[in-house]
Amino acid sequence: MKASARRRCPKLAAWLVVGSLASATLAACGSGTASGGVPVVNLYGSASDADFDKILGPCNDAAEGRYKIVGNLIPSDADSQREQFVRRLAAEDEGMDILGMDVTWTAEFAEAGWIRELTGEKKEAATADVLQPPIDTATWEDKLYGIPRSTNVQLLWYRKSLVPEAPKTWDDVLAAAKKLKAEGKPYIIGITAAQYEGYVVGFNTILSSLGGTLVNEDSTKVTVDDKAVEALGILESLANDGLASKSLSNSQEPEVFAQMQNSEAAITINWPYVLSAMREANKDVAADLGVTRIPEFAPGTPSRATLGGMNYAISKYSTHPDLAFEAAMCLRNPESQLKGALSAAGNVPVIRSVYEEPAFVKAYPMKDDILAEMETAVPRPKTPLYQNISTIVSTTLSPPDSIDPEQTADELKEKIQQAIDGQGILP
Amino acid sequence: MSTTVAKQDVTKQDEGVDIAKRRASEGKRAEQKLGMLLCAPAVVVMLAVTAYPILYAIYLSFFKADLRTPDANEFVGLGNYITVLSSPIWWSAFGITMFITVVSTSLELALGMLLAIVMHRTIVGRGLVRTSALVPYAIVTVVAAFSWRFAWTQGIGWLAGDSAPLTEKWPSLWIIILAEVWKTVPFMALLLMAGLALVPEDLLKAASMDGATAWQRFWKITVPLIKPAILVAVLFRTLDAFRIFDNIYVLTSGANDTSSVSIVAYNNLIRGLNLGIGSTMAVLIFITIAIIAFLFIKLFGAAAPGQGRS
Repeated sequence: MKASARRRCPKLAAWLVVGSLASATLAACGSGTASGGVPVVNLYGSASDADFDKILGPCNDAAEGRYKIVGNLIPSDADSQREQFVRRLAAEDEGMDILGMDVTWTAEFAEAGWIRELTGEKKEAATADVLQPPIDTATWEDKLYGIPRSTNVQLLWYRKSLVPEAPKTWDDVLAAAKKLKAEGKPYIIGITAAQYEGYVVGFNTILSSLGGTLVNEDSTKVTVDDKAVEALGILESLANDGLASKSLSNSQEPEVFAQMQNSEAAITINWPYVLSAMREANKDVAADLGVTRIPEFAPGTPSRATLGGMNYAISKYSTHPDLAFEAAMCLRNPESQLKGALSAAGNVPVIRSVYEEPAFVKAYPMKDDILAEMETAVPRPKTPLYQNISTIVSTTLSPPDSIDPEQTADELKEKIQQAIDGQGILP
Repeated sequence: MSTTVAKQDVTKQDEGVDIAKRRASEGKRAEQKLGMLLCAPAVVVMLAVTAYPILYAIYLSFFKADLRTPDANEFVGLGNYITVLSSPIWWSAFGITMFITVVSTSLELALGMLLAIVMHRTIVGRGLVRTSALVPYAIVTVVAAFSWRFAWTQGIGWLAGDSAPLTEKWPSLWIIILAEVWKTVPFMALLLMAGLALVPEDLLKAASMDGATAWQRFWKITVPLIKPAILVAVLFRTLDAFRIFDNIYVLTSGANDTSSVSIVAYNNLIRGLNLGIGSTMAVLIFITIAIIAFLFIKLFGAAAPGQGRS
């Protein structure tokens, strides 16, 4: 026994050593200092954008050895990105400095105290010459929490050869598609209606254009009413009237894009990246591509697009927040914005002066439509519980052909109120 | 009085033995003490990594607790349990999980038995047969699940062709079950094969001399004899299957009503950051598994290992 005890002791000691080494290594992971003593600024989000190295490289040169920005990869879909962020932020991870934040996360992250408020000089620098709607997406309870980086509004894309006149209202869209169907030409109307965030964007656009909302101003009460019933009616009839794709309930942006590319769809609602992406995917279709504002759902009232985009926030647990702020400002300065807009990523700039750049004007013939939509654009509900509301909307409305406007609206109303009150569970 | 003296004599005589005994038991006690000491670190670690989280989860399940509002925690008693147990989402997931558990475990038992017999009876290339049968079990579940997902994806998958089975509820469920069964049949077979090795060949030969067919020999001799092995295998698999997560997460991530209870718990706890509701679900899953294990032992207890009557 004693012999075996003696035999075991070194083993135990060895394990203890291994354990303490492991914890030392783990501790070292968080500290974020490169071997040369140059502080590392860890960027999460946006680092996998096309041609991002052309933005990152010059910014690292500009830092002149004071810091080094390292772009880290995260999952490609927004839900998984958020999951990684919240998990690591809740664990007070020091390894994240700059967070590429979807516009819908501001309230949640700010309320939880995970990101730093920008004040004084920083606030001024972050908002100088920036369009107002993107600033609003980075603001929660009148405090600025993010550096606006890119914005986004969907547009109506159509084939000029099939639809000679740009549709102005949703009825025009339906009429054009019906006519094309009768003539045996490509007629599909493409929208994103898979069970995911993009479906919520589409629904929010229709609802806002009709003058409705999901929740009130400070997100304390559900406001689903007859406008929502009307909006649900529009989705339901699109799904059941034979003018949408068969895979409507499975359509995300790439699918809607493909419907256009394959000459299946005549009209689609999609983000501005379509033009630059189509030039690479199908030159003939790209040449025939027309673009205009999202149609009026209530005739006579301009539509109200839903704002997308991304802001850079500085993590509360960052050990060198000032350097991180400086780095983030470089990653979205006018030169970087222009590069991002011209690359295949097609990030729509937030800085006004970029819209005047000749190269931008040439690549974005629809810039006036974008700016016009931006003026009336609506954010998605601003609340720390946005994720819950979004999940409820996309699941309740899926699949689109099973919507029963009155009943679905009631269901939506009940579930969203439950989510606001902190009751109910997520599917 | 005299009896006492006699007794004392006896005691005196036995004193040597007694001392020896005491010494031995002292030695034993010292050994035990050493054993305890040696176990202590492991026990402490176990307490820290299992008992503490379990107790903490139970504690949290009585609170309204959300990571996004860390200062607004409040005690709600059984409120979370009422919320979860009165939610159709929970019961739908519970039904799905039960369905997957029952169907996949039954299929695994049948196919596993078949595979076990094949592995047991193979004469030529026994090592090769056994190794190749175990390959699916050696593949990481998530990797295998991704292979299945791509195989069943419209356009790119060799199994899907022009259909999109993972966008509908029932086809998705069957694919999930297929992935589960494919993955764990070898595990089942391994456990059952260990049981098969215990069946005496003589008994089977004697039965066949008496004219019993292969079918009769299997049901009348093999099955009763390996009942303990079957029970263990089925119990393990049931408990595992009830906690199914990775295959569903990769294949459908719960879309189209294919969520299991673990997926729903994950969505509320990790995605929704709702510690209260999430912990409640975790506790409910724990309780369900405890009940399943209890029922198994109660119902088939006679055949449980260590109590075998057969």
